[in-house]
Amino acid sequence: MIWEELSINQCIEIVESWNNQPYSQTDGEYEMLKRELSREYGNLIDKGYKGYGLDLKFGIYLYELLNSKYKFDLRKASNDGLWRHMAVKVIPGLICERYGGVKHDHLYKKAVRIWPKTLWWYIYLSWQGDSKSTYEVLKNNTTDEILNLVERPGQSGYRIDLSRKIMKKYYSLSIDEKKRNRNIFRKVVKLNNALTMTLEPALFSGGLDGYVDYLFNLVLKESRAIK
Amino acid sequence: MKNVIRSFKTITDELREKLELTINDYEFTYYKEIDDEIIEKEIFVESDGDTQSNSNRLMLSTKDSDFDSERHGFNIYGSLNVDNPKALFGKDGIANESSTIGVAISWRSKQSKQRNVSKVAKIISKDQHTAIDFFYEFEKQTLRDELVFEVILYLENFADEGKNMSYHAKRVGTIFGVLDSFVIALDGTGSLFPIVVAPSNNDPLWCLDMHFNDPRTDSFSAENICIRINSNHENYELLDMDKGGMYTSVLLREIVANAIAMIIFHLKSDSEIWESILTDDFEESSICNFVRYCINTHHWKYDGIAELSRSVRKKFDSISGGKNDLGRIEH
Repeated sequence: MIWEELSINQCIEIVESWNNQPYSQTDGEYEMLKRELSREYGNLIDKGYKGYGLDLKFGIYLYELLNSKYKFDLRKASNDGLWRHMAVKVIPGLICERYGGVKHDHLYKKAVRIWPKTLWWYIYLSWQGDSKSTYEVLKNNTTDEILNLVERPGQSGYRIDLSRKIMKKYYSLSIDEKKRNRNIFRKVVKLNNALTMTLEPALFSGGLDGYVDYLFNLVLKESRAIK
Repeated sequence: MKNVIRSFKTITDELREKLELTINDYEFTYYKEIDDEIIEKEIFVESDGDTQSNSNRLMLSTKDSDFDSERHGFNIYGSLNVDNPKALFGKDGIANESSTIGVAISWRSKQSKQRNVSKVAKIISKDQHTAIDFFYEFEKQTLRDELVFEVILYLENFADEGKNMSYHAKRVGTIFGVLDSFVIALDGTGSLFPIVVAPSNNDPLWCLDMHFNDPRTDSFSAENICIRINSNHENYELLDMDKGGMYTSVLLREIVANAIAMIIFHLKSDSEIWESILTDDFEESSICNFVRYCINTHHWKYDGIAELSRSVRKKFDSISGGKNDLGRIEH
């Protein structure tokens, strides 16, 4: 697979040329990729998936397809040019449908919002070893969790093992607890970003597990106190 | 990034000297498969100073090897010595006498969107001497561009002495600071300015594309800022891009020098941003970081755009090809 990239300028030109009617431009293996993704997207829509549910199911499919069949890897996943190409040339129709129009941010403009990229990273940062466990841990979330996890990496990159443990811990909170404290996940992410300015989670007492318990206790204690 | 106020003592240059710290050159290797056997080969490293210890930047080179950051991972061997570890403890140190200080390596790559740490050694106040030897493997196909690599000290264990100094950190995992810190550049021999080559029917020979939202956080990379060279332009050949371009092309050096002057002047016109640059209030590998690096390394005049442009170009005249790469070109 020869991966191609697009610069922001190139994306601006292409999107302008659509005249609001997005269309894909693919050949070779990209044509195959487009068909597979479109087919899966279509299947999910037919089954009634939408919004976050659609994001999660499609995200896991995209993640597994890219990694296993197309030999995708982390080095490629951090290449925004590659994601822009995928969004604007391979599946622009799907993105515009998902977001109800030609939304530049989700196509190329905002690096953290390019839809296929956001989904891939959401799954990667939440991965629990296999797609089934990952789906289970993420199924009760919303697009807010995607935003907070992917769009708030903190200083200089994600701590991947930590992120996966945070997602698992968050899942273990009772549904009641989460509902009662609407913004609990956002608070966890923000507090984590603040704590890690001076503290390294993997070096904490009890390692990452000890740190995650500590982090959640702080957030939950504060939330309960307010109540 | 706002400056962090710490309520506990951290490592200072003064303390590093008291520690009698020596740092040996780091060595880099990679794994290569030859006839079903895995062999470890050395990677030649270029640095931006005359010696490794004088350098901030180590660049993994493809010289004398077929190391390819696209396919291979790499390994780092490090060896540091602390001959007076006692200086870390007690009233004048960063931890009380009964606590344990840990040594770890910490790396982070904004471009690769990842970071990690790994414990390496422990130090207690009774130690006469600490040898810090480590080996760390970076997996293939996980990293791009560059990463910051640090040997850090942290609180491994806190022992309550009853009457503790308020300025000694108590929370295990607290980072005290670094013994050593440098950048490892993976792709190419290190870049001064992102350059992209693309065909265009309308544009002049070159443009400075600025797509960043906040230069304090957005990375200094092609998608946020770049010199875009128009390969369709009638004068494109004059750039000699294909002939080992950077070292030989006088015209390209002029372009890069101009682009640098432009971005510096652009940021200077925003007093808030300029203040952030001068107070180091920006993220690593950001556009502001690059400008700060320019300010620290060179002594250019910032009074007016003409003076600035002149200073930059004068500096570039003294870079006569070979040692300093002016840019990594993307097609």
